[in-house]
Parts: sequence; C-alpha cells; structure tokens
Amino acid sequence: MAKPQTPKPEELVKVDYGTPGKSWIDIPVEFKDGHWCFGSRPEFLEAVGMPNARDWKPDEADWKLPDDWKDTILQGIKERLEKYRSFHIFMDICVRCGACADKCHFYIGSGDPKNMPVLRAELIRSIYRKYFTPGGKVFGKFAGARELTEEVIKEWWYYFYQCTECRRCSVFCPYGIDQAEITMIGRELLNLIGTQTGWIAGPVANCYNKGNHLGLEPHTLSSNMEYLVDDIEEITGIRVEPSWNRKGAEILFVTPSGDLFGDPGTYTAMGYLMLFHELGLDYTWSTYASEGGNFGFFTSMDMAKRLNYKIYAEAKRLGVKWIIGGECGHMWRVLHQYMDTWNGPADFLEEPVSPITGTKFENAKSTKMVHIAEFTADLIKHGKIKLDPSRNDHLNVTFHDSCNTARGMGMFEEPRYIINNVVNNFHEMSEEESREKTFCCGSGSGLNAGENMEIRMRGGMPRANAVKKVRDKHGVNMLANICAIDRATLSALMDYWTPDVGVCGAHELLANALVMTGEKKRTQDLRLEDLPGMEEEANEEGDE
Amino acid sequence: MLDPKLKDILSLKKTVVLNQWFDAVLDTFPEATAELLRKKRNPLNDPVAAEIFGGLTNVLNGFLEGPDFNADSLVLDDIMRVRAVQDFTPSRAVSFIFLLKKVVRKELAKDISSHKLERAMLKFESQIDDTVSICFDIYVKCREKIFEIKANEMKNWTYRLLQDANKVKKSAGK
Repeated sequence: MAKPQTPKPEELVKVDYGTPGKSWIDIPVEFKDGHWCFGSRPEFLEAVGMPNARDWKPDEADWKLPDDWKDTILQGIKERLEKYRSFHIFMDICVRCGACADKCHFYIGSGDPKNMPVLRAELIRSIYRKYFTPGGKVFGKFAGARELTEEVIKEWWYYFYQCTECRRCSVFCPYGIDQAEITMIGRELLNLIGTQTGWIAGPVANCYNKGNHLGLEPHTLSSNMEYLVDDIEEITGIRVEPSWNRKGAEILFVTPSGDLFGDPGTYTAMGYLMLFHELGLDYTWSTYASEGGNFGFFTSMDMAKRLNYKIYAEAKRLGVKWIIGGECGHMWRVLHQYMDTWNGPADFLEEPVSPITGTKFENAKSTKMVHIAEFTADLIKHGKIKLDPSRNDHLNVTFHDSCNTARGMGMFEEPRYIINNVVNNFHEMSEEESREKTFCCGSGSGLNAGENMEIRMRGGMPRANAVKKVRDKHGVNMLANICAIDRATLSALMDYWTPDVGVCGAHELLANALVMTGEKKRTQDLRLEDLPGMEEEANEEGDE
Repeated sequence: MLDPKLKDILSLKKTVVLNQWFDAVLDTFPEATAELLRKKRNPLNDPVAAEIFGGLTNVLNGFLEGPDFNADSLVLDDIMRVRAVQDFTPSRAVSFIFLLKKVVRKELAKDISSHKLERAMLKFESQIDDTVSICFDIYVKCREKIFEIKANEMKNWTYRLLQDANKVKKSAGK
C-alpha cells in the first residue's frame, strides 16, 4: 500500500474552487456566509401586499418561486425598458473599458470579479441580450447572452444585495452609466417574485403600518425623546420643550427615526433639539411622519413613493409652511430627486424662508424641504448663533461625504462650513477619497444588517483605509458625517479597522460648541463625558 | 534572534524573497481574485493587495530587525485583520506565514549549504512556527471582534428603548 503523501503547506492553503480560464457566465454563484442577508419573512411582504409571501431561506436550494416567475421577470424587464430610457441605454452602451472596475468598494475590498460594476450590470445585460436583442437571440453565449434560470435569479440576488447603490463607479464611467439604477431595477425585478431581504422588508412593513422603521408607536417616540431632553438638561441646565404633531407650527421637522434611539445618532438628535430651542424655532416633530429614511427605495420605486407620501400628507394635515429635514443619506436622495415628482407639487406649502436670517432657500422652491446643513450653515454665515469651538478641542475631526448627499445631491460645502466653525482641528481625507469620489460606508441601501458583517467590513475597508491615513498623519480621532446609517455603520467599521476613531453627526459637534442663552457652565459633552480641562476648572470654581 | 550570517544574506535578497512570498500568498486566494490582486498594489485602488504587501514587508523586517513578535505586534495585526474578513478557514488565514519557509529555502539554498547555515535555518523556521501561533491568536481576536460588533450594533441601535425597558423593570420591582 502506498504511503499517504503529506500535503505540503502551499498545497494546503490553495483554495480548490479556482476556475481558470472560464467565462464568468460559467462560474456558478456560491452563497458564502457573511455575504448575504436573511430572506424576508412572509408577514413583512403581506403587510404591504408584495407577491409570493412565504418562508424561505436563501441558502436552501428551493426558493419557492411562483410557477410563472420567469414570465414575470421577463415582463418586468420589458416594462422597465419601455418606462426608463436610462435603463434601456445602460443595457446597450457599455464598452467594457473597465474604468469602473476598481472604483467599487465591494470589488476592491473583496476581489470578487462579479463585484466589478461592469460585471454586476452584465448579470442583467446577459438576460436582456438573450430575450430582447436579435444578436443575443441568434448567437447566444457568443453574444454574451444566456438563458434565464433560477441560478441567474440567485446570482442577481447575491450580487444586487452586495451593491450599496453608492454611484462611485458612475463618476468614472465615460458614458455615465449609473450602476445604482441598474441595481435598483435588479432589486425591483427580484421583488416581483418575492425575493427581498428581511432587513429591508421589515422596516418597509413597519414604516407602512406605524410610520417608522422600528414600528414604534407615538407614545414610545415621545417618551424616548424625554431621555434626550433629560440629558440636555443635565449638560446645559436648560430643559428644551419639543412639541409633537402640533398644528399651526411654522415648520415640520423630519429625520431618520434611528437618531432618536441609537447611539451615536442620539447625540445628533440632541443637537437638533438644542439648536431649535436656542433659536426659538416654531417647529414640530411628527409621530406619523416619524421616519425620514425610506427602505422602500431599496425595494421598488412604487414602494418608495408609497412610504414617502406621509411627509407631504403630514405637512398638509398640520398646516405647516415648510419642512426641514435632518441629517440623512438616502432620505435626501429620495427627497431631492424623487419626492416632488412622486407626491408633489406641494403647492399648499410656502417657499422656505429662514425665520431667523430671512434667507430664501430658492433651491428648495419646489420641494419646500430644506436640508438642516443648509439651514444651519446659513445661521452661522449670518452670525445668528454663538459658538465656542474650543469645547471640541479634544477632537481632531475628519469628514466623510455620504454617497447620497455628495453624489446624489452635490452637497459638499455646507457640512464642512458648519464643522469648520465649530471645531478647531479639522483635516480632510485625500481628494481621491472624498467629495464626489468619496468611498461608501459599505453598508448603505439596506445592507446594514448583522448577518452580512464580513462583506460590510470588506466593502468598508477602502473608507476605513482613508480614515487610517488621516489618523496616522494628523491624529484624527473623530469621523463626522451627515447620515444616520453612516453614524450606525461607520461606528462598526471604525471599531474593526481603526478602533481609536469615533463617529458623530455634524450637529453633535455644533451643539457641543453652541453657547445657549442661560446655560450653566459646560463640563460635559453631549455624550455625558467630561470635557477635558473644563471639568477641572469647574471643580476649582466649586472649591472657591 | 536571527543568526547574523543568515540575517545578512536574507537582507541582501530581501526584495526577491518578499516578491516571491507575496506571489505565494496571492495564490491562496481564488484564482480569479489572485489575478486581479497581482495587477496592482496601489493603496487607493487595491487596498487589499497593498495591505498584504505592506504587511508581509513589515513581517519580514520584523524577522530581520526584531523585536520578537507578540500578540500586540501591530505588523501582524494589520495583515491578520484583512485575512480575518476574507474567505478563509482559520488554518488557511494564518498559513501564509508558513509559505515564507519555502521561499527562503529556495532562494537561499546555495547560501545555506555554502555557509553551513542549516542549524540557523531550522531555528528561523521554528521562529516562523511560533509566529503562526501568534497570528492565530490575533485571528481569533479579530473574529471575536466581529461578533462583538454585531452584538454592540444591536444594542446601540435600540439603546434608548432598552433604557426605557430598564426603567419599567425598576419601577415594577419597587
């Protein structure tokens, strides 16, 4: 009997599923743990009337698709080719130049070729060619076409939920092909046959039934805000008195509900409360329009429209004049690019004018909704609030441009203007990694679940790398941003890659620096942590 | 510490050894991925390859210059942090260090025999084995971190709700 050969180290470490020389079409999708989110539960889909509500598990062979799934998908593609000219063009014009390939954070963090934007788009293009182009019908695989099978659906699902719709690739595409729109269409098609993730479907159902992602009822919202109010009183000696559902208020304030419950977002919400109190702003919160975020946007355009409707409806019911929106990413992409045409015109509202400075927000003339960063930057520009940036001297801050506000609505300067006025130590990340070229947090567009943590850490690695550089060079210890999902997910990302860097919203920094009328001497920041230097001084004063 | 003669020779051939080690490590990735990683080491466009190359450079420098590695060695931490979130089993994640043995044996074959460095080489290889153990500790630490982050994230997202629940519990107990 031959003596068994002991494998050599290099043999042991070689991964055996390498597939040399094969076309991507011939490489089957393999579901790896940590890469995908759990499937939707039936009650989530039933709540909003989505099709094929059933128990299913993405890593099991049988996805329990409806009998006519293939016709549904093909009909879905046909309808969208006719409806969206952009989608039709994106299906035809790519020349595979590869400019997008190494711009995707999931690709550069994972090295998986199917995470290259060009290849992710090919997942649908190959089906488009087969069923909608003469060349694909005749030449099949030679023309880059393939049959629509259940395996294709699984591959779509695996990779369209590994795209955060951040649009970084589109900045570098010579044709301006927007992979985010292709992913959106891909997800819409998947939703036609009931293949949604639980992490997205849950918040959608909750939002539809109760107004916010967590499904919290009015009394829970208002009682939880009391904790923030208590903390503000402890820090400043001032009790702010926010109102809920107040008819006749001048302004309706809408923000992601996550900031009311999750740290570190809560500190940003405290920032809003403090700023509005100091201004004496005539505004109200709403328990109905209690969610700025919109996970319908990660489901389908129709679902996004349905969930967005409540904002204008509530503004009308309360009789406010205009709306301010808090710090959020995808919420603002929806508000900025879609709300007006979906649920407008908001002709019952007035063109927003700051009651403090008199500034007319002409950019919001149509939507009647102003970004909080624009509102606050205008206050600072007109010297309407008193600021003491030295209270943030223990912080060395950099700014993460959130994909949706940066690439989705071109907001670069306002948050920087605020931060530069409220901190003394600010350092930009490199030009290649910020502003319109900013790297995604790796967890946007409904991918901020727990079960896909490995892919989140990989996808966020380029962002973390950029932070690491400014940390090593300038001693940065705080990553500011204007997005609720960023505040939650960058905290996890920093914890893994650069554990000594914290995460905060711009309005947390602002409220730390905000000198409020009648406040007691500040010895703590909004996190109830001692302000270095200040607390000793207070003790000395107390001793005297 | 490395034998002084072995150290001198290894220092002279550092670039060749490093490049071959890097290639061997890339071979541990799926082939399609390895091909792509091989093309670039630009920290901006390919941080994985850059991080691995930088990590290997630092580890080799560590063997040459000291101090001895321990669980707090940042150079090992950097590279293990990347490996811990890639598609590797624990044994494969740490095995890249073993590959250095083969590369050094191959590149320094003549020097080892002509300078009678066999004993020094065995000692160096034992040092590599010890480093693998340390890498495994760091790997486990990174994996624990992932699970800790998952747990913390759930707590943070609903922190104020939990605060409310605790309040109710306290009142009920009174």
